[in-house]
Amino acid sequence: MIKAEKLTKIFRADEVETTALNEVSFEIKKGEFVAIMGPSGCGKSTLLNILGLLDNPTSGKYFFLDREVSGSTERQRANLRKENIGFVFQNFNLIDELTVSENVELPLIYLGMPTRERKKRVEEVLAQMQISHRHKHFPLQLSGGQQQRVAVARAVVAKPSLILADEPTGNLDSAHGEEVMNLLNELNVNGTTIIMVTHSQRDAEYSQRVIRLFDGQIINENIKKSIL
Amino acid sequence: MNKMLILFSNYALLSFRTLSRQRKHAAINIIGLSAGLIVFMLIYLFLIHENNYDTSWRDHQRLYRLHGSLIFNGREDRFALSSFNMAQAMKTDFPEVEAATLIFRNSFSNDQRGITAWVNDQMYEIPPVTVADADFFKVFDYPFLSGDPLTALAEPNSIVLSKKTANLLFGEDDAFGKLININAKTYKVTAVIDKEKVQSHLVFDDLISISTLPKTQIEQMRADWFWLVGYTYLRFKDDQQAKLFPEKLELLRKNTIEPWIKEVSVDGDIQLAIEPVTEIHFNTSLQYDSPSNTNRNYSYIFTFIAIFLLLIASINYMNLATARSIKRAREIGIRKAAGAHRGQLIFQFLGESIITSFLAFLFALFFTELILPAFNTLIGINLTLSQLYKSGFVHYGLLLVAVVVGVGLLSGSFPALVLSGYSPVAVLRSAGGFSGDKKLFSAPNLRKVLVVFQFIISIGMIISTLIIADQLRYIRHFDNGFRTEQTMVIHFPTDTILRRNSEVVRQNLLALPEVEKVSLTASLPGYQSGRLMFFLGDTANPEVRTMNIYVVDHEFFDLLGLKTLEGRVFSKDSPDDVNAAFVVNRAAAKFLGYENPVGVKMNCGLGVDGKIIGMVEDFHYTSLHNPVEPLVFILTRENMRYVAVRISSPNLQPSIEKIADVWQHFDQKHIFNYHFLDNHLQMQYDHETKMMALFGWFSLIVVLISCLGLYGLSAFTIEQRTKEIGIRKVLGSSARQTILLLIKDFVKLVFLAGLLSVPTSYFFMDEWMNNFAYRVGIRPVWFIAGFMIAMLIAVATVMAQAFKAVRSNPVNAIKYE
Repeated sequence: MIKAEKLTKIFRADEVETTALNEVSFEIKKGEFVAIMGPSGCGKSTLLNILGLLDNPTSGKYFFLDREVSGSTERQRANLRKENIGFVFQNFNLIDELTVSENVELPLIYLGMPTRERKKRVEEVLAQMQISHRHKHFPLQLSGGQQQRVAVARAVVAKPSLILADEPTGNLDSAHGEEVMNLLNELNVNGTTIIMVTHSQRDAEYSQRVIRLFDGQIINENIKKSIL
Repeated sequence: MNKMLILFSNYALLSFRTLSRQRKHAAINIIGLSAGLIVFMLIYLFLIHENNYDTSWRDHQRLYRLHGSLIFNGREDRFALSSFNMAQAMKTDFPEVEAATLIFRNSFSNDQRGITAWVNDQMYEIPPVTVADADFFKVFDYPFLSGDPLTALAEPNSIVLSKKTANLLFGEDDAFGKLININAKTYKVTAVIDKEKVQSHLVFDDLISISTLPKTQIEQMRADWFWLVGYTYLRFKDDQQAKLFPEKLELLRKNTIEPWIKEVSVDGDIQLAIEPVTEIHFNTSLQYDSPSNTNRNYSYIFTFIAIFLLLIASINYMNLATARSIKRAREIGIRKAAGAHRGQLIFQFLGESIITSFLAFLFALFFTELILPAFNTLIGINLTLSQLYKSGFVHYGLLLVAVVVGVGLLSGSFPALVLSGYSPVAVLRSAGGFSGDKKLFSAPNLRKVLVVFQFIISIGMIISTLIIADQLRYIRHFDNGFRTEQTMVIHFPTDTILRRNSEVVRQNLLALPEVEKVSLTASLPGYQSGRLMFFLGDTANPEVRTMNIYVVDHEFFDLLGLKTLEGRVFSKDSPDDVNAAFVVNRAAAKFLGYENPVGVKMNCGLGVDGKIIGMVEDFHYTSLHNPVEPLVFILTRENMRYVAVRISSPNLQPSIEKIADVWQHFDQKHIFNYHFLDNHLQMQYDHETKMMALFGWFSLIVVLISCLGLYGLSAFTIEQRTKEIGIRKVLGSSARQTILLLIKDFVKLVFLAGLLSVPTSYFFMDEWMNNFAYRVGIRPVWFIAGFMIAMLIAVATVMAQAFKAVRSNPVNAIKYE
């Protein structure tokens, strides 16, 4: 599903040049649950942004669904993104001015789905995430765990084949964290590919494979479970 | 006191730091306030000028003008003029009158073309001279550069020159005592006055003494109370006497004028009235009044514009300040936690806005000085910043400073009240996302109201400018009912030898292949026409009608292409036409009560006694402000003022040169003075054209300031929504969708403003249109166009910001927190 070949990302600010990713290569198959780990500043989030088509690499090749996309335009990336990828962020990134339902509905609006179908899908997903009773509330009226469940709902509502999660439990207490990890696991079991950046060894336990990054390079890749 | 000083310096320092740190916001505030203040100052200078006509005369509170109305057939015509005898009567019959004077033009015409003056065999063109009696300078104390005010106009053949004419004729030399030849008469310069120093409704350049006029002319004027020859001014001994004066004037009318009217057996009357000279400038109700007079409504309109502009600029400040409040909330929290009370914080914010207002004022002063020359050219007045501090005007300067402080206070008032009200606990607890807006005053709603208000004014002004332009275009292309193009008008000097040989001149001009038609006439459209009494029917008991009169030649009708409806126009085959025939226009026929007036017996004071021989179609011989009035044509070969030449060749310049050659072949003693009829007719709408230019510029500035505010506000709003935009982009929102989302809110506001501006601008423009007898009407297209223009500009302003937001990388945005 995903293939990275010598992905390099260099940030330039004034006269300083930082190599955030240095010739990173790996492959992720459909249905895998992969955790990316490493200390702060090792390039985890940069890698996730490139994998999520939010950013382009400076050099190297990136095959997404067998298509080379490293040089694609913002519009092409946006189209690929909304059809195939769901995002879950550490800080939830919900829009404060929109209700729970409206937040979850957004990706479907951008996909151009008809209203009735959209409403139905939102209802289903909210039920699946057990947050239906709060659908008229605003994000700031919810607990952190509830907010993250809304965020997950939003990530899966368009039925993407890939979910990218950036420290999904970072802002949650352990009980709520476990809840979210179970949700992700369930999605993976049902066939969704998941790539998750995390600091937490406990969360990484849920994955089948861990990619460890250090100073922009992969230092070790170990498969923990066999892919079913 | 010491504590206050420390506090104040702390605030001043902070104000300057805030300004220099927030350069973009400071720039928007200062540019906006400056632009508002520049226009305010221009209008302010204009208003000071307008309200200071005739205020510099010694005892101007006691100075009055006497004016008369003529009443015939129940119609009252009110003139600024009065009879020749009035000034003398004032002096001899009224002990309360300290001084009185008469001043008049020898010929009433709005034709300001020059006359030829000779000094030592040198030919000069000077403005037409004005006649005044010996007491003129007793009433009006013009500054004298040389000569004696008491004797300057006492002797016959005396001339008092303006500084400008003196410089033209004599350069640096002292003009006093020098001789000038005008119209074959020699005048002695008895004084030079500096009339530019005085701002007055009196429009003249050089004065000759009344005793210069031929005795016969004076006797004629003296004998006729109905002949309103000039302007009579009087000064009372004290300012209470004016109140009782109208009753005394009534006695004069009853005892002196009424018996005379009976004696000459005319069915008419004269009414007399006085008005303070200081009120003349804004009186536009009298005929033959000063050309500098103006409608006070224009002053009101400009006052409104000035106030609105300042208001709009202040609104920008308020809007940006409250929008930025979230960023400043922390500072306020810390200050409050450290012991500041609310009053001190209000003081701080007001201090900031007043400092900003004064910085803007400095810029505005600088730019006003730069803009003034162009503005002066536009409005035809010489305004200077010195009007704000010259002696006697200092209060105007102080008022302006007060306005600047007021703008500062107004701008700062709302932010000061909102910001100082923040609770320190709430502010400090939330790290950065404190949204004070939700609690206090609902600032976002107020911001919306203010933006709507700004755009109501902007759109209203654009609409008004478009409607004024439409009306002026309509007038320019209006069918006047006569031919104006390619018609050159040459001014016929009164003393030219051509006068005696006018037919020879005509034949010589017609001999040129470029010349199609030539008419020698005393009257032309666009020039002031005379008004005369006409006596109809039975000679023993005639019916009197006053109508406008045109004195023309045989070719006049053909040259202007006037259409004959009944009978005929003057013909060379009927030599009697000179003293026995009238031609009238359709309006005159209607006024006299005839469908076909041909054959109606009539006579007039100019020695023509006979019948109406023809009726022509109405044509617009005065401006389109007025409907076509009744007009009578008489034929004469004397007293021609103009030679109108229709040029057939499209190459005007060579034709003009050839015509000049012919002219100068006959007369080398005068300057060849000409213009084109169509240009002259357009001058009738100078005032409106200037108005439109001013309105156009002012609306541009209003729109600019409003957009500046919108720019600042949208920049802020978009900055606030950075995270939201990032999230939406991550979720697949396209650039178009994001931009639409961002401008949608602003478009709604401008749309609402558009709706609200329609009735307001309709009301004002409908009023304005009433100035014209012929109106294009208020067409809906201008409302749509004005709205679209404002919308386009507003969308472009917000779009610039939205594009920036859309182009930024969403990755940065979602890390925003």
